[in-house]
Amino acid sequence: MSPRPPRSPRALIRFLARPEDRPAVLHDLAEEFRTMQTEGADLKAARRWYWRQALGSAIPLLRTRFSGIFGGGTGPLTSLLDIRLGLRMLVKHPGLTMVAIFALAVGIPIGLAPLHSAAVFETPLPVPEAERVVIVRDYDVSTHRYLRSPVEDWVAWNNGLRSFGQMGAFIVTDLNVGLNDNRDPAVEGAFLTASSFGILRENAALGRVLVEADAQPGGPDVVVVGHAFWQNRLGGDPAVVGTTLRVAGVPHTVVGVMPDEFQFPKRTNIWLPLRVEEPVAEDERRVVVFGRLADGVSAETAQIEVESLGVRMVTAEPLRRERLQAIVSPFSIGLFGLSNDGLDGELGFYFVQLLALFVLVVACLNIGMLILVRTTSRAGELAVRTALGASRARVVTQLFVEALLLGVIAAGIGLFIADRAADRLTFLSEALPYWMDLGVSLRTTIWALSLAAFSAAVVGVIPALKVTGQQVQQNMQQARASKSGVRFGGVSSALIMADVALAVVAVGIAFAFSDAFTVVSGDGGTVRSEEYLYAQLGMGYGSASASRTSNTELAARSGDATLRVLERLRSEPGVRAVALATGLPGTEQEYYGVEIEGDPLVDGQEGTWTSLNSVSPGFFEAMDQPVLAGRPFQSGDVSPESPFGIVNSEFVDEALGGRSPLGRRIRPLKRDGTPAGPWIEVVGVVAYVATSNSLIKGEPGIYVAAAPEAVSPARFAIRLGEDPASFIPRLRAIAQEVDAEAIIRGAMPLNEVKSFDEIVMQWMKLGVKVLIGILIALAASGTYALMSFTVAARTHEIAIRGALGAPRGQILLTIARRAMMQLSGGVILGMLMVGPILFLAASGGWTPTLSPLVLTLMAGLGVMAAIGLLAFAGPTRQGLGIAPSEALKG
Amino acid sequence: MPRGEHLGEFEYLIMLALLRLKADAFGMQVRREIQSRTERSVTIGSVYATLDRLEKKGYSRSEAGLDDAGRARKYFSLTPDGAQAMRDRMAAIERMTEGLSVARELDAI
Repeated sequence: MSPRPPRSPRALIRFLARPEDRPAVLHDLAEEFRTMQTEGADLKAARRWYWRQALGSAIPLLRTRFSGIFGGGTGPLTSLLDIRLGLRMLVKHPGLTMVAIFALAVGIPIGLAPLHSAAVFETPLPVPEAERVVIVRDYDVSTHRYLRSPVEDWVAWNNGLRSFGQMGAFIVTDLNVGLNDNRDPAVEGAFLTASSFGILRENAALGRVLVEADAQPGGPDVVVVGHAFWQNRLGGDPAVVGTTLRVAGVPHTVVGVMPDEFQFPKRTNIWLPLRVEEPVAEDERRVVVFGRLADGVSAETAQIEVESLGVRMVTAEPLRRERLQAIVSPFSIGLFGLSNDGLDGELGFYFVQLLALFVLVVACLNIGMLILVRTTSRAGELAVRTALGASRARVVTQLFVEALLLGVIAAGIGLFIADRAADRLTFLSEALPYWMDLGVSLRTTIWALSLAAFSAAVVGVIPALKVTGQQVQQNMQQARASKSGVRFGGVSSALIMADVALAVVAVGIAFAFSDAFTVVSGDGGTVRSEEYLYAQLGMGYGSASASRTSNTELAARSGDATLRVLERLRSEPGVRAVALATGLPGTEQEYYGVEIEGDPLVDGQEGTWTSLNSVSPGFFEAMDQPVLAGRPFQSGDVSPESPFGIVNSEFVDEALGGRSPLGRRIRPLKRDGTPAGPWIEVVGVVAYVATSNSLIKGEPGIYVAAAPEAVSPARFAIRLGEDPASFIPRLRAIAQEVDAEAIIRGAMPLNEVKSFDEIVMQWMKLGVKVLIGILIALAASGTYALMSFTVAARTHEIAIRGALGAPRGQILLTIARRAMMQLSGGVILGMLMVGPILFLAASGGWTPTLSPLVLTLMAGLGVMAAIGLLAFAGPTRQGLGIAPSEALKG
Repeated sequence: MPRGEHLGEFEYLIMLALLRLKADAFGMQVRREIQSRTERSVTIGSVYATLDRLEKKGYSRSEAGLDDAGRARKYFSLTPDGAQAMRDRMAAIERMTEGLSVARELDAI
């Protein structure tokens, strides 16, 4: 599969080219992009070429597209001359240009990020009339959660609903494919109804798709494979149809290969028939039900029919159905379990959106100040233009175009950076279905350009209106006297104070949450995690191809496989020790409140928040963790009804206030305060900490002894010494030898394990650091611009005072007083705002420390103060240097 | 009579490329032709923009078509006015260089 051209420049071309030229231009570029690669150019060079083409084509295409407006240089709205003048101004003031572009290049993507994410989740399926493909799902009105549907519901909907042309169902699962001596990783597969291909209107590229006969009980074992799987794992064999592939240990005949880029419903590469046998009520599988609306039927009509059928289903089975409400949802939304409003309907989305736009507003505010200062210094030039006949609208348009250029360039850079960043967010993009792409889309490009235009209106037009609002004559006179004539008065003081306060708040936030930026754990703490291989063992839905599988049966098979894999590993050469637990350092953990027998709980409280892990006997020995008090687990400790537990020293400190836990009984509590399990008798204390969260160092933990087959999810830590990753293929083979449907997931050295939350947290931490740095940089640039301008406006006054005999010290004091008041006012304002933040942080359990980041930011604050003084010192020195005679001449 | 008046250098190069490529004259092919013969970097956007301008002047025309794989493509060709404009331009150059040994004169500079 040849790589596609980069998305961002493609989106740019799509936006800029005229609709009638668009397909041809894009096709021409794509063809050349492919030709370059077939002629030997590497992918990077081809992408660079594409970018150059897109950027170089931007202005010609823009001119063609908007030729009516540009009118060959003398159009009614603006002209190429304005663009040239604008570009010249950008070059003439490189400092301002860089600061403004930097601020907007950051502000625009951050401002757009929430909207962009919402749009990504709502991307329709890449199939014809995608908006007519919907999901029917159950909504639990008591827990407010969307659920997968029982097979029984699928059958009832499929038989009872007339609003759908076709309905289908699928289950996604990992499957072993028995290639390379069982050493290859499992493949994401889907069991689906033959109707699914019809709903999607998709045909095989080779052979055929699944048909109804395949799904009949006792039907042939057939499989359809994906293009990438066919290319990469089956060598692209053109005669693959008719060959045999072992799927979950069972030989299947390959009947077809799907086209490139078809990976329905997620990133799936193998499709098998979903078989439903009578009686369906005993089938415990959960499926996703979807369908294509019949011609002329709207989603609303389908919803009404689904509800009326639901009423009948409630009457038939009141116990199961009364809490459930069937909902018709757009496919992408339904797949993610979002509400029908998409991310917009999620709590907190608007808050995040507001926060993101705040960054843009701060950026605009500061750039606005810089541009206002620059525009003000050009008041004379603008007055001359007005005197020569330029209308006010003409002058304002020119200034708008200048600001627009800044915005468009910044938006381009911002989108480019965002696109690169999206490429690096692999943990997110891999979790998305195949048709969703985090990269910059056409819609995002249009939003970014709209924001650029909006920013340009704010930072360009407002200063322009202010400056051009004065009398021409007055401006001319002031231009002759080298003065701008514009006074900011109290506004400038307020703005400077706001900027300084902003910087102080930024440092305050960093200080308050310094814990978050300094603590790095999840690497196992006292565990030599680099010597261990981590892997999770699970079961695929392999046998579902032949018949239904009950959850009890699946759990029993899973437990049996866990036990046998553990035994096999213990006798495997090179394996020093094997630990088995539901949670290991860096993985997801389960958390509960804890009740201690004899310690009454205050009403409504849930006790110390604690991670709870089930571990197999021998766990602490395998993890090389000494028991500090009491005894380690013994094989007789395994008892589901009256379990034995070991706690860590953090638990002793936090939950028991240092009292001995030995012999005490504790039990986990749910959020509502009800017990989540039986009483656990504590027999030992360890130093070991397993946490998924880098924000919490040394959190309290309880470890309960469990039989290996009862440890679910089954997470292994296999001690191998050097290069644990080299054992992964062997581990897969062992698992498949034990059970053909046993899947090894997430195998990697233990020190590299990070939970999804952890990865998200790391990115957020990076984002917050960058954001704080940016806020300080913006505040510094804004302060410098305003302060230097306001002091410079008094240069003449300083000179006259000097000429009239005022001592230099007194003059300095007069001028400095205002600057100092502005700076200190900002600091006080900032501190007032930081106070509550520190209070909140302290009450939330954060411990402010002077971490290197905080020290760096404080240094940044110092630099900012220095910048303020510099801005004050330059013009003051200049004023003092003016000869008395010159000053008095005016 | 040609409707347009002035023929820029790049426009002239594009028209020459159309003359060379004939039925195979689509955007990227025109770009390749000019780039390989003049050894100057040419973007697809400037090619399309110039072809649009030539079309407005009445010197070229475009026709939507499909390539072998059935994908969209736009083919360009010269109009009689375009051909006349090129003739005029060549004639002007001929008249300007008549009796002049251009290479020798340039070497002498």
